This record gives sequence, C-alpha cells and structure tokens, in this order.
Amino acid sequence: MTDEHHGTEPPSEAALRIKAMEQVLIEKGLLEAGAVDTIVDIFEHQLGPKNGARVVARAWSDEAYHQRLMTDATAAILELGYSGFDGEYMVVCENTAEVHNVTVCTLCSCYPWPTLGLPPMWYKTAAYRSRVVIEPREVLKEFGLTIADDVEVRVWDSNNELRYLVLPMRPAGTDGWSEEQLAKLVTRDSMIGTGLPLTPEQLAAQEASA
Amino acid sequence: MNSIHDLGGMTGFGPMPFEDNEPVFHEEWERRTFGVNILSLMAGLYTADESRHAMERIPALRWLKSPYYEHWLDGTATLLVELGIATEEELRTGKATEGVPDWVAKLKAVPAEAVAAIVATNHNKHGQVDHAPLFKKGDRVRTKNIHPKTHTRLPRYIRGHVGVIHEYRGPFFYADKRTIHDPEVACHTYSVRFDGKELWGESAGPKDAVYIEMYETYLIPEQEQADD
Repeated sequence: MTDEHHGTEPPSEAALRIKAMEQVLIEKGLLEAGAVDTIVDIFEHQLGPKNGARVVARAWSDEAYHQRLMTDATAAILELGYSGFDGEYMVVCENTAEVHNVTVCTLCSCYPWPTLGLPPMWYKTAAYRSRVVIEPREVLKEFGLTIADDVEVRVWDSNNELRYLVLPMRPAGTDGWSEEQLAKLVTRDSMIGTGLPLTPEQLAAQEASA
Repeated sequence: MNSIHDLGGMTGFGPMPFEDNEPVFHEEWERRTFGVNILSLMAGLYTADESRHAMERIPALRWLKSPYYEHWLDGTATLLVELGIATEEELRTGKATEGVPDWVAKLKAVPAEAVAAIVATNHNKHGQVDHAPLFKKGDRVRTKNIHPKTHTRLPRYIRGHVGVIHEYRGPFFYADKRTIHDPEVACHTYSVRFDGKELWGESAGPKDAVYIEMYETYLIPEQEQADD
C-alpha cells in the first residue's frame, strides 16, 4: 500500500470525534440530525456518473444539444435536470482526433458533483494530483490509455469555481443507437478523461458476464 | 500558502492506486463527516473557501498520514473553534456548554426536507468588479511570483510562467480574500493555457498543456517581471 489517503482503515478516534461534533452542533441548533442522512443519501444514491452519461449520450445523439452544451454547459446540463453544488459553472471539454482532455484538482478535490457525484478515491490522492499535470501520458498509461504523440493532451486543473466534464468521442459501430443504449457506453473515467467509453463489443462482453 | 496540499508536479507519491467496486464512502464516520461539513456550510457557518483553507493548515506530516475525510474532520473542527461556534472541550465531550457569537445565533439548522432543493440549486458565485477585464482572449500573460502565507488558488507550479488567455470566465468571488473575512470581493477570472514545455521544460511530454483558472490579480502582461 503506497497511498496514505485511502479511507479503509479509519482511526476509531475519527468516529468518536465526528459523533461529538454532530451532537454539539445539534444541541446548539445548528444541525438537524436527519439532515445528515438526507444529504448522504443524495450523494450515495442520486448523484453519480449515470447523470453525466445521459449528458454525453444526448450530445452524441442531438447536434443542437451538443452545440448548446459547448456554448453554455451549465444551462444544457440543467435541461436534463442536473444542477447545484459544484456544478454551478460547468465547462465541457470535447475530445477530438487531435485533442485529449483530462481533469484534475491539484489543490484539493474539486469535481463536478451533479453530473459525476463524489470523486473516486484515486482522484483525491496525492499520486494523481501531483503527477497528472507533469506527466499526464504516464498517468493515463496506468489507466490503460495510451495517447499518441501527435495528439495534444490538455490537463484542466479545476482550481477555481468552474467544473469540467470531458465529452469523449462517440465509439464506432454505434450508428442508429438510442440515447439509452449510448449512455451505457459512457464510463465515469471517460468523463474525467482517464478512460475511453466502452466499445459495443466491450459492452456486450460486460453484459454477458453480468 | 505553500503547504502540502499544493501538489502539482511533485514526485514520490507512487503509482495510481485503484480499487475495484469502490463505494462512495467506506465508513460511517466518513458519511457523517461529509454531511456535517456540507450542512454547516449550507447553514452559513463558513464558506467552501474557508473550509479548504482550514484543511490546508493541517500540519504537513499529519496531512500526509491521515485519510482523506480526516482532512475534512480536522478542517471542520478548526473552523468551529476559530469562529467561536464550539470549544475544543465541547468537541471532545460532545456536550454543548458554551453559547455562540451573535451572528451564529441568528443562523438556523438546515431542515432535512430543505436539503435536496439547496443541493440542486445553482448558487451564484459572481460578484461586482468595478473595472472592465484587463485581458482578452489571446493575450500573453505572466503569473506573479507570490508566496502568500494565506489562502491562494495560484499553485506553485504555475507561478512565474507565461501563458495565453484562453477564455474570460466571469467576475468570480475572490477566494484569497474570502478566507480573510472579505466575502464579497470578486475578481475577473480567466482560463489560461500554459504549454507543457513552459511549465516543465524538457520533462514535458509531446504536445501537453495545462489549462487553469487565474484571478486577474495573479496576472501581469508578459513583458513585465513576475516579481515586480
């Protein structure tokens, strides 16, 4: 285990500390006990990459929507019902044959919550945050993604209020697919820029083994 | 501040750590810590900028050793004590014995039934700036060589380098000032493109670039010296 930021072995002290903090805030009338469960439920069950996948699938299917997404991403994403905390000022970075985009927050862990939910652990680690700006291609290789030397790699460091969603390229062999079918190809990592969407063959293999 | 959180370009943290079937939270204390921090923010006890700044002030060795959500826990505790909302003793015992400042007494707990709507609201982060943007798309700019002891969103790896204005983004609240009790100050903000070779010299990969948002106060025209 080389990474110190993993959450699997919490000191029991942390459990005691947060319990005490919660009690004090409740007693002072600054926190409602049930509200913690409500907000946790939203982030565990409602927000997540399925939302972003709908945005991507719509952009692949509907050129007018794609245009709106590139001009005013926040408004276009709101059309599908996604908005709010850490998604107030959205920018979509479109991958092309010439440009591959990847997102990071080197100073903390900023991430587009309405479309992707809370970030995976690796996104928050010192390993990712330190390396992806200086050696993005090496980092992407560890994700199994090799970017050709003639393709520009753009790393978006979300250090301010903007949040970025990568629009991956539509996989070949998907002509005539519905938005619902296309959305199944869109992985979380393909919207961070550390992966590509599934191919139709990969999706078929995944569904066969499920 | 030049603390351990400012990681861009460092070496020594190992390969990418992956976890199959990773849950959103691993432990109950992580859920509670996330919830308490965000709800305190929603209630108006502090801003997200203050929350980040509190985490940046965790001593480096402790920061490196502690798991991610312990940073949140430490940061929240620091703010509650600094703002006079709770004492260290109260946070240890879980029993409220002291009052709160007048501005806090006026705040209310966020009701559970109001949470979903607040989380889904696009809250404004723009303020008033009394001058037009100084730079426009395509301008070549240099970042200042500054090392404030307070909160900044200008990472070390970007300081003193030349980039090109990619887009004007708007008059955003100024995090550097929000964390020193000046919450309404705003600053013109730009996405700036830095070529990999400019940031990393010969270590840069072929055709790499970093795009990052810069407050106008971080930037000077290319010709001027960064440490002026």
